[in-house]
Amino acid sequence: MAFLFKRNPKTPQDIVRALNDSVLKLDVNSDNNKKYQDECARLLAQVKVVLHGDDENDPQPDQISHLAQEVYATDCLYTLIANLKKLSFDSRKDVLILFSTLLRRQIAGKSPTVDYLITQRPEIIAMLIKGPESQETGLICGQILRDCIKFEVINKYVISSPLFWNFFKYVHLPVFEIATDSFTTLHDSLTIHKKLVSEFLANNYDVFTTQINKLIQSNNYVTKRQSVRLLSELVLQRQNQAFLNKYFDDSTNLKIIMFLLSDKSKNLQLEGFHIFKFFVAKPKKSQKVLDILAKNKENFIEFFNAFDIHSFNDVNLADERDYILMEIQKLPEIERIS
Amino acid sequence: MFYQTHTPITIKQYDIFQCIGKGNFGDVYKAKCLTNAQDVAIKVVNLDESNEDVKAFTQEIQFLSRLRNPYITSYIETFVKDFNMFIVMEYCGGGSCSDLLRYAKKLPEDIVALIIRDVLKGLVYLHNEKKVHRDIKSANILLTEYGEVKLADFGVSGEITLTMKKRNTFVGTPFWMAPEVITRGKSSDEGGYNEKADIWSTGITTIELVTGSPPLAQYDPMKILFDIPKKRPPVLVGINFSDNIKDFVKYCLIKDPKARPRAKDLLHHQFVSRLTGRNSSVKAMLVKMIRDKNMQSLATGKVKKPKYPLERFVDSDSEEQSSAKVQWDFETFKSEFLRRRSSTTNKEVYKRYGDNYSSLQVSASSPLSPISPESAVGVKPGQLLFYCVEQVYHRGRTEATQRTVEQLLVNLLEYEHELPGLCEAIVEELSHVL
Ligand SMILES: Nc1ncnc2c1ncn2[C@@H]1O[C@H](COP(=O)(O)OP(=O)(O)O)[C@@H](O)[C@H]1O
Ligand SMILES: [Mg+2]
Repeated sequence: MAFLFKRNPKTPQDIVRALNDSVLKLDVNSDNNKKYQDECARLLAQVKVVLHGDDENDPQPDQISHLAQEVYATDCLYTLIANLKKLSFDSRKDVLILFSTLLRRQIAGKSPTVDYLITQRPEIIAMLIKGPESQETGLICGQILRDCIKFEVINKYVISSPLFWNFFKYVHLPVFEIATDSFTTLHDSLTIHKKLVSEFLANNYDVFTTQINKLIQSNNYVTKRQSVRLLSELVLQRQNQAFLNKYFDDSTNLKIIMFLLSDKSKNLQLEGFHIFKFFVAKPKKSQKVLDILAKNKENFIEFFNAFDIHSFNDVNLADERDYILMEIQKLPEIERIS
Repeated sequence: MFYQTHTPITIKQYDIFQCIGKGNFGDVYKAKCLTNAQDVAIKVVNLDESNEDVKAFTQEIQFLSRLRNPYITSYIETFVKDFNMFIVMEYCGGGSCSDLLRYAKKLPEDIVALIIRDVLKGLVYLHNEKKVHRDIKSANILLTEYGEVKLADFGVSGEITLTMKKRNTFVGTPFWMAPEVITRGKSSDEGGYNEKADIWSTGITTIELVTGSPPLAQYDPMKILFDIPKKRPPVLVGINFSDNIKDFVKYCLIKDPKARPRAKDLLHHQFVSRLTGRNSSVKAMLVKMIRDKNMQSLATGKVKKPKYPLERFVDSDSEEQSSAKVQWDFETFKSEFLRRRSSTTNKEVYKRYGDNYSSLQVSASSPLSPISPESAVGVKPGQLLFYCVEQVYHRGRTEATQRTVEQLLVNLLEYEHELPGLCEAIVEELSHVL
């Protein structure tokens, strides 16, 4: 009964090599494309078995190691990402599994895949950043990139790249799921590694503020909500102090947040309030900010009296509102004539 | 053919007809795509209703758009208008299994076997993708007019169990919940629950379909939340039911999730595998039942009443544009000027056209113009002209000069009133030259 002991005759190296070959043969204009797509799907399924085992077999560390070596040696990840669009819908997900599994694999506390990406093939990261430009592969690239930026070095590479600013465009893409997925990536790249982000924000105050302000002023409700929420998160992060000092001194920002306060959406009012309160509470305000606050004293008093805090179930909100109202009432009456 | 009670409402490229389902955060409508005449279902979710992060709602789309399988409702697209999100998906003309139950009271075992078999096929796909549905019940299993079965409603799937309590889904459907889902919060070492929770819910749904309601349906859902983990699993009893279905339910409702079979194991259970060879005749029965149900609801003319009326989000364009309740004042120069000058001979002009002047100054919607001074958010380019002329006024040394400049400003106001956009055009030209 020899078949009981049947094992996969292909070594992991064979599989990776065959996969590279088949991917390079993919050509959407060719009649044989379906055949090669199926071939890729079959090989990617075998890759998955090596990495995760199946019903009968557990994954073997030495096999995984051989597979990983071959993937780096043949630039397999590059080939896969560059040709992702040509693969079938399900195969693309298998690429995601391969990529993520290799990323997580650690040797002596380090991820060889992260090393490989940064030192040998940063082009892959660039391709992933531009992923949202393709409707077919945008979501997969987004998922892979988010797995990548869990590693600080890659996160740093991403936000230092000029391509990073593309995300502020991608969040406006007409394909809703790609736009919101891009937002998730943007959000993650600015919230996971706190220290890295604090430096980034301090060094890129102008560009970042202009970009996030544009998102907050968008006509799209979802973009507005998400971007204010992101800003709120950054504001609450003590490490971002250098950025915040500039942000709360800039009267342009105050105006944008005041428009949120008077937005028709209750939620935007609330989100706006949670940023606005810092403008008021800041001990040393810039002259311009002070001017605008003083100028609108009556407006604020009228506004906060009508501010429907009970519709949000937030116990601290009433206290915060009262405090802010009190601070506003303390503002000087006079107006600076410029 | 299709009897239309009222004219459709058109949004984007869709004609929206009647409400076909009510959800927790919005309603589901039948619609027709104007570009390809395809029938679709549109789920409308009001995003401003709850103050939860919008991510809790976009999650469903992130989920659905990554799935492609014949046993899962296919996703078409999503768009946002005002506070509402419109999720467009494949239309399932047979309605939900819950609708069918309401019509038939209980379903014959063969039909239940067919539905549950296809649910399992959908779950095999889903679980293979490492995803958990988390809300399997008859209301979330849809049927097409051809008797196809599709899983729907991924509103609580994925990683959002923490927020389940806030969304009323937790309150609404405890009858179908697996014991480990309920106790999850208490034993933190358990580290969440997995796809086996869907198997439990499938077992409960099997009972629901064949008896008309899930076990314990007569009790307060909040109370049974505490009972489910303590009690022994429900059993299907009665001489009307075959041993096969009873056995199937017993397997689904094994309390220990580790001992509970997987979806792909259950596909081999007699209860569902027995269908092989009789598939088409059972399917024909189901199709007939769906048709009868649809005929009846047409005949009685009973339409589902949406929780949120559709009219709410049409014709709102005009008033939608940031109608701020409070008019913020951002200009440290203008009101002073107008106030001071109002005693002059030009008083009348200000009175007539001053509105124009000040309303320009606080308008909120304009994009940041490249030529605006740093602080000029919300200032239209045209206003800069007024601003500049005003600065020139202040530079005037003699009263005569000032009066002349003032006259210029008044004229500008008049011309702008006659020809709105004039000043903006001048500023545009200036900025090109500069
Ligand atoms: N694609 C569809 N085709 C037909 N009916 C649908 C469709 N999607 C939903 N429905 C109906 O709307 C109801 C509510 O939809 P569902 O997605 O479950 O929303 P919720 O998450 O609010 O429960 C369903 O039970 C069903 O009756
Ligand atoms: Mg539902």
